[in-house]
Amino acid sequence: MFDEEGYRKLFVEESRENHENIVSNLLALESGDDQQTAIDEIFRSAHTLKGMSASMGFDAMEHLCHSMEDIFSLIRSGQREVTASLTDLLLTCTDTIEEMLDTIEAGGTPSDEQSGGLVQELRVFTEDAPGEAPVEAIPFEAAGTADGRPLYSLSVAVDPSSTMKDVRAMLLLQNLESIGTILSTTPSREAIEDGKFDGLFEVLIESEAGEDALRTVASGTEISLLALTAASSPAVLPVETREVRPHEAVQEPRVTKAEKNREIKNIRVDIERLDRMMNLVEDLVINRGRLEQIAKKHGIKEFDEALSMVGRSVSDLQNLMMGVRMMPLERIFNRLPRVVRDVANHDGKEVELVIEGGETELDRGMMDGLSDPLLHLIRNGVNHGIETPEIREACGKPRKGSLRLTARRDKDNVVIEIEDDGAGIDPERLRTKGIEKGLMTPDAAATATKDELINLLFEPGFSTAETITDISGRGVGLDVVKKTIESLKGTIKVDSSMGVGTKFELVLPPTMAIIDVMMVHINSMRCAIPISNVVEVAQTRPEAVHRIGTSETILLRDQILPMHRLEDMFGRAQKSDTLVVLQNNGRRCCIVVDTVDGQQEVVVKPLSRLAGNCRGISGITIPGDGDVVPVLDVNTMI
Amino acid sequence: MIRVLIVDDSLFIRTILRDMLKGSPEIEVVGTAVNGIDALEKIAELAPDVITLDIEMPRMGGLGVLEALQGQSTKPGVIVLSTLTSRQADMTHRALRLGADDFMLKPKDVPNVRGIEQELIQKIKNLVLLPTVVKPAATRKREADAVVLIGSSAGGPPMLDTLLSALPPDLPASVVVTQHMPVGFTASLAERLNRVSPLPVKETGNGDVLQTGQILVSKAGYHTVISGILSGSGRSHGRVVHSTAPPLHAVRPAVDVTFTSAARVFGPRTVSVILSGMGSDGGEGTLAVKTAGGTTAVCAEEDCLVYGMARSALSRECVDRVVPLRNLAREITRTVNRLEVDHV
Repeated sequence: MFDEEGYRKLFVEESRENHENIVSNLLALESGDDQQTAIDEIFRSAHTLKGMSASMGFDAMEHLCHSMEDIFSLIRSGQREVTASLTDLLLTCTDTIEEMLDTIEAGGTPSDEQSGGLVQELRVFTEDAPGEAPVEAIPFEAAGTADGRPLYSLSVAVDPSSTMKDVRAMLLLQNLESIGTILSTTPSREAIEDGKFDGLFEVLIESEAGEDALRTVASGTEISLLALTAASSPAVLPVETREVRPHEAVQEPRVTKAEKNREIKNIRVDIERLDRMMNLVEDLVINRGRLEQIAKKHGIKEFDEALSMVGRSVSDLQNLMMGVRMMPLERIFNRLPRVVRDVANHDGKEVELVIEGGETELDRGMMDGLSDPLLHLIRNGVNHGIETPEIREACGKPRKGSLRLTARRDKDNVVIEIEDDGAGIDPERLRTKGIEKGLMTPDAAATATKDELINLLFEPGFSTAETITDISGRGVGLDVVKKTIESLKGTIKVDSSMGVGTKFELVLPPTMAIIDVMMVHINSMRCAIPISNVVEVAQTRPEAVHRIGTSETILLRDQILPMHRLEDMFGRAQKSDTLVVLQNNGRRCCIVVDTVDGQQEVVVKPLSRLAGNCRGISGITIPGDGDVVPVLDVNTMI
Repeated sequence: MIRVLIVDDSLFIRTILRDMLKGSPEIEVVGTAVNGIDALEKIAELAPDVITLDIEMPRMGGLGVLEALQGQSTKPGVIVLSTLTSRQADMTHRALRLGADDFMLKPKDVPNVRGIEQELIQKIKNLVLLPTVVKPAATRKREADAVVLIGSSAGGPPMLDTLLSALPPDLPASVVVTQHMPVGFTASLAERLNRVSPLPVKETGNGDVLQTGQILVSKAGYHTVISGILSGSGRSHGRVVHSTAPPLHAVRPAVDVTFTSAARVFGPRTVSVILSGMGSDGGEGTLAVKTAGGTTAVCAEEDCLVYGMARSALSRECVDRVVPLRNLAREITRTVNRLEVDHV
């Protein structure tokens, strides 16, 4: 009946949403907008997390969430203030929760080691709150002292007129024995039980039952308690070892899995399954191409019609699949305010992060890859871009720096911009650094344009930071960022002006798998060029080609374009006057091709690991006829 | 067919609850709602017989739903699902006052603990099956001469519904129910039981004297120790003492503490019953009742979700009778009546 794996996935998925909700609201709390809503949201999310982790038997996580919920319960009722140190602690807790979720996702169970210390720290906050501290749900820990149980001395009076003095006293002693151990009585027990006392007697008793229990026992008809005092010298007795048997002693057989039959409107699907479906759709696209070629050969009208219907369905299916895989960028943007806060606090800077366009959608497959580069750029912006408040004020800027993260759709592409209003990049410093690091000859450096200098930032081993801070961390440079973005078939561009700020612009295709290409022949070999890189196809005359040094250029519509013949890749081409003008990131070049075959939608498959990374080729595609065609990576050519 | 609506803001919890109820052919989950406002709309639309209700939800919580339902002529049975905190215990109590019919702790460790669903299913069925009782006019209070002790743990609450609702209003004994439950929830349990039993039910208070025809539910957080008192006429009666001694078998109240101390006071006029429960609490206590000359019973295994506590008593060879749940009330009544005859 219970499908544990299924529950686990559902659990992790929903827990992550709640976790993100806590983090973003903690930050909202700190920024001071709409405190009450944020507190309510955090409380509710912590509560939900607690309930869910209890249901799954993840006790460590339950305890941690429970403690957080307790604190927010106090905050909600105004008994506690949100302080910076509390926020820090709570954020650490959210980190731990995230780690726990990772553990759970990997099939493990989080341990108390991960959270024990935090629970203690949180308890400090709940306990010094004024008013009543929340009672722990199940008080398992012994209330008694470690060595010897509490000792009490009781003075009891029996009504002297009672006819059953001895019986009453005896019953009292018996009752006391049911809640403790009587060490001595004055007068002696025998004397009391024989009625040989004047109505007053004293009992020294060792009991853990508490004063209230003793008081209740020692008072009643014709009996009254004169005094109850905690005795000063507790008897040192060996502590009896209590057998604490947790409930898991009972072994329960695992419940077998059963078929699912849920009528839920929204289902959560594993990304792997979506990937498999996507692969199938890709195969369909390939085979549709094949069918079209066969159809062309035979020219049967009915077949063509049927095929065009199939073709339309395949296109619809493909669009649908891509839509299903799309997720709003919020998913990764949501983590960033936390990063900005941490880095800014660490560096003693004041930074406001503005996020726009979080609803812009991107393929899920790219989302994961994008997360790290974005994180790096954001850190970079705070770390190196924005100045300290003092410097900012000296420059006449507001104390608080601003970091803008915007996402939008531009035609088919998704454009993400990270813009700071900081110091900007100093080209002169890049120039010296470039020479120092041996990335440029002094001659080249002297004539380098600002763009060329800025591009040095993306060279491996280049870092303008004076010191490597632990936060911008991991020793990853912008070169890695660039590589990652390129592996996603995206581009990165920097624009900076001194004293005004720096802007990084990422342009990403919405999906990596299926693109429109222009098919061309070069030296009788087929090659595909992503249509987004193609500017135009032009005819030229041999006399328009000029040689500059070892490279060729061509003057086309008053623009000088470098011309490539791709001979390394395809062998010497035959004489041809057809040019394809390519552009990437605003820069252009052209290549010589034999013929242009046309435009086609194809599935780009990555090169297998055996082939390794091949510069100039972003992948291969298999059009309908079963041929294997390389897809040109224009980015690396320019 | 009992039509059930699940109200919870967590998809995960909703899924678990739905799966739990799937096992019962008499129950049909007709829908789910994600917050109070949604719940009220769905109640109007689907007319469920029973709803399971979460307390903390966005926009409108469980208490809001109960308030809105209060004025309505036809309303579904409500089972409140609660988590183990003192604040939630308080909320649960408020929910019962606002008209919730029953409560249950949110399922714990679902993948590993078998049979949690049975408790929920039984509670839902009880809601529909058990008629609300009309309390007879309060009889004159009288110190009890005999006591019926009931020990219960996991899986016990729905059994208590069945058992206590079948006791006769003129039972000539006091009943003490010791149910393992987190601190704060026993008041709700007593309130709930008070609605289904013809006898008045309340949570124990320190110093309460055991009275004939009254049911006491051990207050969680304390051991219920029964200590003896002598009435003016020289007869021995029992009184509740709340002890804060450390938990026994990791629980407080522990069944063993109540059973053992009550047996000492009531001797042969003690009747003990063990219902469903995990662990070994109750074994020593049942032995003490037997040794003192009392009558001991445990519920039959097929009616119990977990049989640990009953087995612990059976292994000590001190159990007079193993009784199916449906016969328990009759068996208890018969035994107590026989004591009464002997006594007079």
